[in-house]
This record gives sequence, structure tokens and C-alpha cells, in this order.
Amino acid sequence: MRPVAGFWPSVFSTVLLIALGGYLSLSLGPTSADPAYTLYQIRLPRFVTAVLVGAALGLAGSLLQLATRNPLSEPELLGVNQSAVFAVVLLLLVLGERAHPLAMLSVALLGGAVTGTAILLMSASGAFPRERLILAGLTMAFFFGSASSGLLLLNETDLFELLHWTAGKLSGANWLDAGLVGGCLVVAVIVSVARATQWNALLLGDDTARGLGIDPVNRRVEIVSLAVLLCAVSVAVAGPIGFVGIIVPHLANAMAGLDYRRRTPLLLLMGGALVALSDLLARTVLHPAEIPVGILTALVGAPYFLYRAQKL
Amino acid sequence: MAKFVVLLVMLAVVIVLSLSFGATDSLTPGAVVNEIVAGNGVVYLFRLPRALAAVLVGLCFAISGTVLQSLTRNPLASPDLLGVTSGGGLATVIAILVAPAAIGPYITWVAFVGASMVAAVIWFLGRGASAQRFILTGVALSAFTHAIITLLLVTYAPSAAEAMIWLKGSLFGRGWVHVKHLLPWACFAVVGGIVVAHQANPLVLGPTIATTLGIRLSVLRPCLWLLSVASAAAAVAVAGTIGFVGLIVPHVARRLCGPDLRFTVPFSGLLGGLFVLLADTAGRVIAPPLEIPAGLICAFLGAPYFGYLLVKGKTDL
Repeated sequence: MRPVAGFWPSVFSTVLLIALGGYLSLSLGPTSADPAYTLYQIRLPRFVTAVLVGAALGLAGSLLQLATRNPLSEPELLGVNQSAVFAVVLLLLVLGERAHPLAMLSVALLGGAVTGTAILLMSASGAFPRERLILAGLTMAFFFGSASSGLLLLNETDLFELLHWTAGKLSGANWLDAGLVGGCLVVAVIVSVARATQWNALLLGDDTARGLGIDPVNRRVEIVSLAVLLCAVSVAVAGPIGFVGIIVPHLANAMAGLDYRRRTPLLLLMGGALVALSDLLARTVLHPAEIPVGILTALVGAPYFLYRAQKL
Repeated sequence: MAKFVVLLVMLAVVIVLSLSFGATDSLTPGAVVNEIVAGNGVVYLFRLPRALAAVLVGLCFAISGTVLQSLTRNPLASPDLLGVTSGGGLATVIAILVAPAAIGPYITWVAFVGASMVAAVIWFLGRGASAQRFILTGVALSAFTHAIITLLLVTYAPSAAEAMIWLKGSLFGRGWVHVKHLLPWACFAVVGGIVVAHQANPLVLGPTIATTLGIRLSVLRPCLWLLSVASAAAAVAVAGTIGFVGLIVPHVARRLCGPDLRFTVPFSGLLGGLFVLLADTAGRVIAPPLEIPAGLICAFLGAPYFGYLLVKGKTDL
């Protein structure tokens, strides 16, 4: 695929977009008695979390697509998000009160790992071509989704709060949330810089990769683990936000080509821009009501998915 | 025939069970009959219409799925996966939010219009696609309409319980009014399904052979389409989107009575009713006074079976 825009112009324009989103996010909103507190403890951490969550989801989507060799793979459609949500719901029910974010992250990782393993096994068996893998993933998504809604209903959690969280939301994000996502992202970025050339080789197919001295099975396990980590942390912080993982990778591919050395930074930036702008819209359009950001990304992402599935 | 009778008896037993148990005290079957004959009390006013509504909703979804699978020759087709139900749900939610008072009697028609619109879009987008891509098209459409429904509900819904009915599919608070809404459509689904069954059977052999056998596809296909969309719309107007019934019940029905639609249609109707009634009763009984929406239980049980169908690999026709 020939890149349409070139690497540096894409990076430059995406950074501009994030900066613009940042300026608007920080300046728009109700006036408060303590502007400094509002700015540094409410709006800024929320904006930073949005950017980081978006970056994580954008990269996670691309990694899942690489590991499954399937352009339609996406954390929400494969059920990774839902199984992480299910684990978090279980934890919240056991502990009763709001659990520590680190504990939420660990159980989200466990939950995501279940689906991650299933995805690895299915894509390794070769019996799951493109559409079939997505349908199998959707099955897991439906199963875990209904299980966690049922658990929550049984325990009389405040319904509206739950409705918001299970649709993905960023309101109330604090610096701890931002730090958590940031930490995981640092790990992911280090690994992707170190592995970029090996991942590029994987794009050429398993046989070629083996010929180049790369073990495709191990790499695939590593890639899915990384994707699960990124999905788990974004679920623990913001609930499931869907379709970012399908929009961003395809845009990034179109703009910067398939080389992971160039693709990774663009994935991070574009994911960040998408979620930050969606969140800005989500909290301003119907002000004072707030739309869960996951709904906005689904409204944009579902038609895009449709388009991709048609072109496949 | 014996199987059909067994199913009928099972349905009767489950109806009695669902009438006996509930959020208040449990009743003996004798007390249940007494209350129904008296035409008053908890059983007659609340439990009986709700149980009947559950059976009819299940019947409509299941027959809709059976007809759709035969029409599209796709064993994965079902009104909920294809987004037909969420189209109907979206139209209904909009209508309820815009004109809650005036909409009552027309609600099924509104759902029908919404469902038909989504169905038309899928038909258009999915032409010539493989069986699984056809479903993915529907899934994407369904995700899109579902996002709009959630958006509307989060923003405008009068109560969280009302919202839950639409999002998860529930029979909470359904009464005689809803049974009256459903009954003509359910009859239409059963009778229509059996009437066209003989014509629709050869579809499984492919359009060419069906035409050779004297089937007029240009007439038959729109009829089946109408039948499927209408019965799904009637069910969704009453109970919201209860998923997986239309997908898995036809498979179970075919296992029981073979592929002949003259038998599959009544069997799947009966099984669908049984399934949704069981789900609704379980949802009421597990943790009273809390309720788990029937749609959740159906998805929880249906999703693994769907996975089994996928893994088994018999789904690539």
C-alpha cells in the first residue's frame, strides 16, 4: 500500500489536532469558583487520560490485526474488552466499594487474557478465517457482556451509572488513571520499538518470518499479550470504548504505510486525537448531559467497519 | 407428532410454574386456577399476561429467525444479529420519546417501519456477500443502531428501568394490552409460515432448482421477508431486543423435526415460546424482588451455543 500523506505531515497534523483538542478541552466547560483546581485536577487529567486511552486502543487494535492477520480485528468486537469488564465487575462485587485502580487493572488483565488466549488458539488453528474469527469473538463479547450486566443488575448497582460505565466514559478521570495508562503505554512503546522490524517480517507471512529467523508463534503470543495489557488498562480506567481499534489502524496504514517503525507513533497519536476529540464532543454537545464516549466512537466506527467489511 | 405433544406439555408445565412463582408468595397450582377463573388477583392481572407475552414474543422471534434462515440460506441469519430488531427498537424508542401518549396502538407498526428500513439496507449492502460477511454487515448495522438507542436513552429516558427494557430485552410490567398487540401478529407468523412452507422448502436447493420446480422467487422472497420482519417487529415493540432466540431456536427445531419448514415453523414457534418463558421466569425467580431481563439470560445461554455452531463448522453452507 502506498502511503497517501507521508509520515511527517501526518504526524504534524495529528499533533496539531491533539493540541487544538487540548486547548478546547481545557477552556470549554462550566465556570467554577476555583479555576486552578478545575483546570489541573479535572479538565487536564481527563484530557490526558483520553489521549492516553486512545493511544492504547489504537495500538491494541493494530496489534490484534497483526496477530490474527485479520483486518477486521478489534478489541471490542473480539470480546477482549467485555471479558476485562466482566472481571472488573466481579472484583467490584466482591470488594463492594470502589476498588484500587491497580487491583482493577490486574483483574482486567486476567479477564482480557482469557479472550486473548482464545483468540490466539483460534487464529493458530487456521480454521477461523476472517469473518468467522470475528463472529467467534462477537460470541465471547455477547457472553461476557450479558454476564456482567446480569451480575450488576443482581446487585442493584445504580443503573444509570452502570449504563454510562459499560458504554465507556472518561468523566471523573484523575491523575492516577492517567499515570496507570501512561505506565502501560511506556511498556508497550518500548516493546514495539524493540520489535518493530520483527513485526514487519510477520506481515510477510509466517513462512517468510521463519526464513528470517523469527519465531512467529512466540511473536504472536507476545503481540496479543501486549494488546491485552493495553485493552485491560483502558477498560480499568474508562470502561469499554469500542471501534477505536478499527478506525485508527486503517487510517494510520493509509497515511504512513505498513512499516511498524513509522506506524507505531502514528497509531498512538491518531488514537489519542480520536478519543480526545470524541470525549470533547461527548461532554459539550448535549451539555449539561454527558454522552458516554464509547457511544460516539461506535457511531463513527460502526459505519466505518461496515465499509471495511464490504471492501474485504 | 409425539415430540410436538411433549413440547406442548412442557410449555404448559412451565406456564404453570411461572404463574406459581414470583416476587410475592408462591402459589399452589389449585390457587392459580382459582385466581384465573375469578379473573382477578396477582396471577390474572400480572403473571398470566406476562407469561403469555413471553411465549408470544419467543414464538415471533423464533419464527422470524426460521424464515430468515430459509430465505437467506444462511444458518447464522437471525433478526437480532442482522440488526432488524434494533431497527425496530430504535423506531419504537423514538416514537415513545416523541409521543408517549399517542403511540400506544400503533407501536407495532412503528417498529415494523424501523425494522423494514434496516432490513432494506442489509438487503442492499449484503447482496452477493458470503454467508458470514452478510452477518457481519448486519452486526455493524446493529452496533450502529444500538449506539443511537443507547444515546437516546442515556440522554432522554424517563427512567433507568424503562431504558433497561430496551437495551437488554425484558418483559417487566407487560400486561394484557401487550398480549392483545402480539396475538394477531403471532397468529400471522404461525399461519403465514405454515402456508408458505411448502413453497419455501425448495429454496434450500438454490434459486435455480427452486425456479425449475415452479417456485416464483419474485413473489416468494418478498413474502418471506415480510413475514420475518413483521413478526420480529411485533416482538421487539413489546419486549425490546431479546437476542439469540431467533438464531439458536431454529437450529434446535431442525434437530428435532428435520428441515421441512411445515414442521420447523410450528416447532420453532413452540420452542421459542418455551425458551423465552423459561428465561423470563428464571429472571424473576433467581433473586426477587430484583429481575434479570429475559434478554440477558437468553444471550448468556445463547452465545455459547452460537459459538458451538461456529466451531462445529456446519455453518458454512
